[in-house]
Amino acid sequence: MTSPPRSRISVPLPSPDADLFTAICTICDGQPTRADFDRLEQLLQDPAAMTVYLAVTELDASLRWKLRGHTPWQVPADTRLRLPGRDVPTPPQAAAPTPRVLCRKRAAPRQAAPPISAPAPARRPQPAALGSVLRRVALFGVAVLTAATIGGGIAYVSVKKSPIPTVTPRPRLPGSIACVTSLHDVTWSRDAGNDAAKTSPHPDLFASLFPGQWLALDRGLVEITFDSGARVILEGPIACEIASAFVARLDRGRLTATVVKHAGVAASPRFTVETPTATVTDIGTSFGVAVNEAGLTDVSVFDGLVDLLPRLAGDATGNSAPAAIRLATGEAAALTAPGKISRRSARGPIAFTRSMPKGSPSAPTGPSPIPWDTARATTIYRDAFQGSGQLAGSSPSRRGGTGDATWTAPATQWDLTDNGLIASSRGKASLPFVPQTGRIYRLEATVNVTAGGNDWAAIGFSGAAAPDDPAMTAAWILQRHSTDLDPNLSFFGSDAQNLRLITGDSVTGRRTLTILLDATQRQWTVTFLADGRPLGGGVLPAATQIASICLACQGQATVSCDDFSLLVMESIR
Amino acid sequence: MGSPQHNNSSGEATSSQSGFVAALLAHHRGIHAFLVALLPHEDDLDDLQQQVCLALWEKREQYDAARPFLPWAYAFARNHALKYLEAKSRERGIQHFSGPLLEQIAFAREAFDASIEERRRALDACLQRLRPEQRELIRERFAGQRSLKDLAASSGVSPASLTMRLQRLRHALLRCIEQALAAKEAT
Repeated sequence: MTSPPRSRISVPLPSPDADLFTAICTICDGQPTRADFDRLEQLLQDPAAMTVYLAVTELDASLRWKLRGHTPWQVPADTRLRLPGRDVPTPPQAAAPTPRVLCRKRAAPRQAAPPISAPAPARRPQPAALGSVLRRVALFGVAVLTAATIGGGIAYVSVKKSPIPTVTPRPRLPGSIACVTSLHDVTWSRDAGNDAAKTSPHPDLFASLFPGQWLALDRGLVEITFDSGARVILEGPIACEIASAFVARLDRGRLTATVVKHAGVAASPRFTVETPTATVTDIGTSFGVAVNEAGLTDVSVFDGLVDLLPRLAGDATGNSAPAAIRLATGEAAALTAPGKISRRSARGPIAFTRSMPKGSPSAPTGPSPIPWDTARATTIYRDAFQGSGQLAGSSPSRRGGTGDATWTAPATQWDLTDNGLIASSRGKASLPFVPQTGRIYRLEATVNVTAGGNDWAAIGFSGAAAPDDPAMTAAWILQRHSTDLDPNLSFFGSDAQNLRLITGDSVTGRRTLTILLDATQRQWTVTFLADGRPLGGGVLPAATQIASICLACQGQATVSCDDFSLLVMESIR
Repeated sequence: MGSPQHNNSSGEATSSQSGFVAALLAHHRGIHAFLVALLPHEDDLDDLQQQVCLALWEKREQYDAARPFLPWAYAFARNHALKYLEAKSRERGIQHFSGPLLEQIAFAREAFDASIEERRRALDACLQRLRPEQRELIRERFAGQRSLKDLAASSGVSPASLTMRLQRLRHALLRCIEQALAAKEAT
């Protein structure tokens, strides 16, 4: 959108060493004294000096905004309860669980999934029914085995002693490469990791983890099981990125990794822990890695072999770094400076936590958690938008796609072409859809906003969808043509009153936007991804109404889209 | 700034609650910049910004949709900033600007908003003109919340030296922005 023209305020910039400029920067950068404030206060009585001051603080604010991101605004839950006409009860939070989860393939045939139709009446889970199940489970007291089918597999929860945790297993979300399999006494940190880590709900037990997802703890233990078979215990304080199924990036703190090769994954890449100064590669082993505040790495091998390859900062080729050294059981090494390795006994000063505390169930030895199985997912809608004429009134199936329902869309400038949809008028297109309990949905589209400045395209779930209004009411993610002024964004909430915002990223161009809606739990959750990387997510308010899936175009944006789909994973119950 | 439903024209009207939410989201960055102007020495303003947004939300019924959003929001931000500073001053003896100067800054900031969009656009291009090591220093200073002392220690320089480097970088960026705006105006 274009703002009305305004007269520019010229900043009378002094020399960089001028008293005024020094006084301003002293306030901005240091720990200013009373005298510093008094001095600047005196200088700022001059309007020209005030203009310089505002230019500097605006510069600082812009740099912080661009480089650090910000905490999204959220209406706190207790405030939402007081909103007029919105007396929505908030269910109590489950107690912090400490069970261990076993996720393994099931030999028995999977249950037939109920037929999938869209639209269908929405049915939210009943807390009372869940409570009843948990109470019955608690009566056994010693061991509980809860099975949940997902894509032909079963997730088992094994709990050896009371209290029985108030959690139920949930399936993995599509695109995830690891899951949280145990938690102990965790305090999550908001001060480390990327924007998504700082602004998203903290992962809980069974949480799916995506490539690029940061985990930051102030204290406690979190066990992660990767699809590669690696089982990693993070010990707070720590900041670690789950880079892929085979790579964890440890920024600071310490972790232990146990890598068990399973049938079918023997030929997979080796599990690697990357740190600011080294790459630690497993050769079938159990080992610990610690990174101190200076980024220096310490490695201890408990069992098997590990390769330690030092890296020098700024040396992409690693040519000038020393060669890798191999460490065997009982051996350890530390980098005393970047590139400089010192071998030592594994009985070093660092006490790694090699297992979750006693009281938790015994360590699982099965294969990796069950991933989303796209092959077993069912396509509800898919549209490549290839053809001619207007989108409004047409159906995906008419173009060889999936879904007989017809698009509701703006009447003009939403054109079908040989290369897909070109939308250039404000509004949104929608297809009818009502999610059902017990399923996971993946809404995805490949969009490219080719014009429109700060204006955007979006996909999402919405209640009633007016074609002339691009905004949605349930969960949506927007992609801008330019992020000079604002980052991309994601939203979730039951309506405007409960709207919550997640800061996205600043990537522009052609992208795949994804929203995962997990309706398998009592509280439905959404996860936003862009090009497969998580941007955040959260719990949908209980009153959220979803009646459609949408593709939107805001303001002056020109949006192209050649793949829009909604898939559902079969019920786990 | 853009938003789901609004542009960043401060004179736009919001006639519904969804419009109010959109306006609040649209001006999130403006409120952030305003708070930085009042408290440039505070590195973490997230909590304060959340408090301001919550206060605005709770008073949304009082908002006159026919009037500009930002000046109304600034009044809340100024009051919360004052309370915040007073509390921190009591608890930890943190120094800050006097109340009257905060009023002056708030007043001047509203006028300064007129050219803010252009300045933000120009900044992107100006950042690209910096040398890689200069960009890295900017990133280290503003992307994280490490103190200048920490940064200096890890860079192997004195805090005073780092302060001077940042001062010169700020100056270079501001000069670049001014030149870009002047050039644009001339065309």
